[in-house]
Amino acid sequence: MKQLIKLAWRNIWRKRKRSVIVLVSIAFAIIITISLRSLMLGNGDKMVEAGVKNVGYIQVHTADYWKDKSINDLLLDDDKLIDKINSIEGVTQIIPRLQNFSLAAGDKTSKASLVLGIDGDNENEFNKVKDRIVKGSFFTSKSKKVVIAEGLAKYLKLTVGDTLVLIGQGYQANVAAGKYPISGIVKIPNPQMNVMLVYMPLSLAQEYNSAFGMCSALMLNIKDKSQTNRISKELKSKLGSNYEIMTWDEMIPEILNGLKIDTTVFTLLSSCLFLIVGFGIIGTIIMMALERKKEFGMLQAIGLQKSQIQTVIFLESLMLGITGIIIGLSIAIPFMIFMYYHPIPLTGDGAKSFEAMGAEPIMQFGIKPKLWALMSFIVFCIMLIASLLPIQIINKQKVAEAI
Amino acid sequence: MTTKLAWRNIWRNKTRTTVFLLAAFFGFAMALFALNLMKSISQQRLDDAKNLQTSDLQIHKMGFQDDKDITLFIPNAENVIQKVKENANVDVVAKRISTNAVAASPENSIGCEIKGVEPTTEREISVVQDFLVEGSYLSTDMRMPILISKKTADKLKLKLKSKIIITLKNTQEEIVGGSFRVAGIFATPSTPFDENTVIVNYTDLQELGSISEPQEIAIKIKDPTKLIETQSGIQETLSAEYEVNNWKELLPELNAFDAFINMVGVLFTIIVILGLGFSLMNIMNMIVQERTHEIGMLRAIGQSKFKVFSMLLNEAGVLMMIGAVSGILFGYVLTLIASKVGVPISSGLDMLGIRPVMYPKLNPEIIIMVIVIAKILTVAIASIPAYRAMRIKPNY
Repeated sequence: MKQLIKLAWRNIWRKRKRSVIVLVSIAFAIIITISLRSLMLGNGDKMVEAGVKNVGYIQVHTADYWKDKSINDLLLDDDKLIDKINSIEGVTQIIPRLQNFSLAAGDKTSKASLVLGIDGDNENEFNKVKDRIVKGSFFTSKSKKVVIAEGLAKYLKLTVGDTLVLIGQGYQANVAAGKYPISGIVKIPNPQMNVMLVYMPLSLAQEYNSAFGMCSALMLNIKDKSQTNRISKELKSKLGSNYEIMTWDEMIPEILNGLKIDTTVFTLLSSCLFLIVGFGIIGTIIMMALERKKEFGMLQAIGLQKSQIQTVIFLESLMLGITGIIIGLSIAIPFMIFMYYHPIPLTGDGAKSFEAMGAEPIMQFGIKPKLWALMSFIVFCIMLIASLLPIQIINKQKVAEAI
Repeated sequence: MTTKLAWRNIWRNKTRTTVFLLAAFFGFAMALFALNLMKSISQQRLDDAKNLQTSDLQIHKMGFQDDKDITLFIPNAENVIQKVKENANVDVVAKRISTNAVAASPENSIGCEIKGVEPTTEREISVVQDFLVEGSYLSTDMRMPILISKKTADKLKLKLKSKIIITLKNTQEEIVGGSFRVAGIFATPSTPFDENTVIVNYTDLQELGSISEPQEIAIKIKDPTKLIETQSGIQETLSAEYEVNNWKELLPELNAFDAFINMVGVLFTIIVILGLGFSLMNIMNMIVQERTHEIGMLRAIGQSKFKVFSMLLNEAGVLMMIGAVSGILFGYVLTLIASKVGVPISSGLDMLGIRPVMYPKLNPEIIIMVIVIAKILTVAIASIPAYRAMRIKPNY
C-alpha cells in the first residue's frame, strides 16, 4: 500500500500541467458554487434585517398580548424585569414600546392610526428611525410633540407645526385624548404603516394612555442573531408563564416564508450549476484517464494487478480532490470575507427597493462556514464519482490493445 | 487543409469527442434551463403582484388617487372604455368600483379598500382566483358574495359563509352599510393586497353605494414592452380630466423590486457563464495536454505554429458548435417539458400565498442570450488551449 501511495504521489508530480488542470477545475467548482450560495445567503440576511428593524429580534410581552394587542395587556417597565433580561448573555439592548390604536384627526378628515410610544434615542440606536425624517425634526424624549408618517400627513392634510388630534381608549378604559403639535414627518417603508403611524415620546404615550410606567412590548436587540432561539428559551424559563416571549420569525412569518421560497428556488438553480461544473470535472478526469491508457497497459504488462492500478488512480483522485478543494476554499473564503466587508453598492431602481424595505442598498454576500463545508462535500462527491470512470476504463482494457 | 485535418481529428478519437460533446451538451442544456427558470420565476412573481394590485394600466379621474374618494368617479365610463378598446395593444378592459370602507364582524373591524368587479372580465385581468385557499370565486348562487384574504379572515375571525358588514360613504356623502357573505378566502403573494383588499360584485356595490359610474378602469395590454407608448396613446385620446397611470407609477416599490431581481439575475448569469466556460476550457486543455506528443510530431514534420493553432481552433470550434447547438436544443425541449409538467417549488413547505408549481415560460431573450454566450465561449475555449498548443516545441 505504501508503495502505491508513493506511486500516486509521484504520478501527480510527474505531469504537473495535467494535475494543475484537474486542480483548477475542482477549485473553480468550489469558488463558483460558494459564490452563488453566499449571494443568496446575503440576500436572505438583508430581508431578515429589514424586517427585524421593525420588531426587534425578540419581544417580551405580558402573556397573550400578541393575539389581540390590547391596550389592557401591558407590562410594568420596572428595573427588576429589565435586570432579569439584561442578565441573559447576548442581549445588547432593551427597547420599550407602548402601542395603541386611536383615531387621528386633522382639520376635516380623520383616520384610524397606530400610536407608537418610543424611547427615541434608544430606538434610533437600533433602527435609525430618525434617518427616516423627511420634514421637520424628531422629538426629544421630554417633549410633548409627535412625529407622523408621510402618508398619514398627506391624508389628514397636516404638516410640521400643525396640531394633530388623537382620541381613543386608553389603559383600563380610560379616555385617551389629546392635541399634539407635529414636530416632524417620517417616511415609513411599509405602505400600510405609512398611512397610519404616529410616533410619540414614550413618556407622553404613557400619559396619553393613562398607563404610567407601562409598556406593551420590550424589543430586544442581540449580539448574534444565530443565538435568537437560545436567548428566547432562556428568557422563557427565567421569566415564567406571565410573560410572552416571541422571536422575529413568529412575529413576521412572511419573511420566513419568503426565505423558504428563495431557498428552494436557489437550491434548484444551484443544482443546475452543480451539473454544469460536475460535467467539467468528470470530463477532465476522463480525458486524463484516456491519455494514460498506454501507461496503464504498460503497468499491467510489467505485472501490476488491475486492482493495484485502480488503487493508484483512486489515490491520485483523492489527493487531487482534497488539494483542489483546499485551494478552492483558500481562494473562496478570503474572497467572500472581502466581499462581506466590501459589498457591491446598488444604484438606480434596485437601490430604491432596498431603501423601501428599510435596508442599506448594497448587494451583500453572506458568510456561513456550514455552507462552505456542504459545498466542499458535494464537490468531493463529484470528484469521487468522477474517479470511478477511470477505474471502469482500467477494468475494461486489455493489455495488448493498450500498449 | 487545416479544416480537413481538424474534421478528421474529431472523428479519429471518438471517446475524446464524446466526452467534450457530452459536457458541452449538458452544460448548455442546464445553463439554458436554469437561466430560463430563474427568469420565469421572477417574472411570475412580478406579474402576479402587478396583476393583483393594479394590472398594466389604470384610468382614474384626476385626484382620485389621493384618498380614493367615492365621488371622484369616471364620467362617461362606457365611452372611455370604448375609446380604450380601440387601441391596438389593449387586451382586456375592466371597470371597477373602488373606495375605502370599513369591514366589520362581531369580533373586530378593519379599514380596507373595497373593489366592486365584474367577475367575467375581472377573471381575465386579475389572478385572485388562482390563490383561493377556501371557497370559490364570486359566484352567482350566493347573494352578496365577498372575497376576503386569509389575513382579514383571521383578524375578523371569519369563516366561509360568515356574515361581514361593510360600511362606506356613498356618492351622496351618506354613511351606508350592507351585509355580505364570505364566498372565498384568498392568500396571495402580495402582502399589501392581502392586508387591504376585499372584493365584491360590481352590481352589489353599485346598489349599496348608489354609484352609477366606476372609479377605476384597469387595462391589460398585449405587449408589455410597449407599456409607455400605450399609456401615452390612451392618454391622448382622453381629456385631461382623466389620469392614465402605468403600474410602475402606481407601484414604485414593486418596480424597484423588479430592478433588484434583475440585478440578481445578471449576477447569476455571470456565475453560470463562468462555471460553464471554465468547465469546458479545462476539458479542452486536458485534450490538448493529451495530444502534446501528436502536436510535437506535426511540428517536427514541418507544420508551422500557425497551422497547428488554426487546426486546433477549427476542431474546438466545430466541437463547441455541435455541443452548444444540441445542448441549447435539449435545454429548449427540457423547458418545454417543464412548462407542461411543472417544476415543484413549494411542495412540502405548506405555505399560503405562493404558486406551489412553477410552469416556466420560454423566454426568447434568454435563448438569444445563451446563443451569444455560446459564441463568445467558443472563441475563448477554442483559442486559449490552441494558443497553449502553439507553444509546444517539436523536440518535446
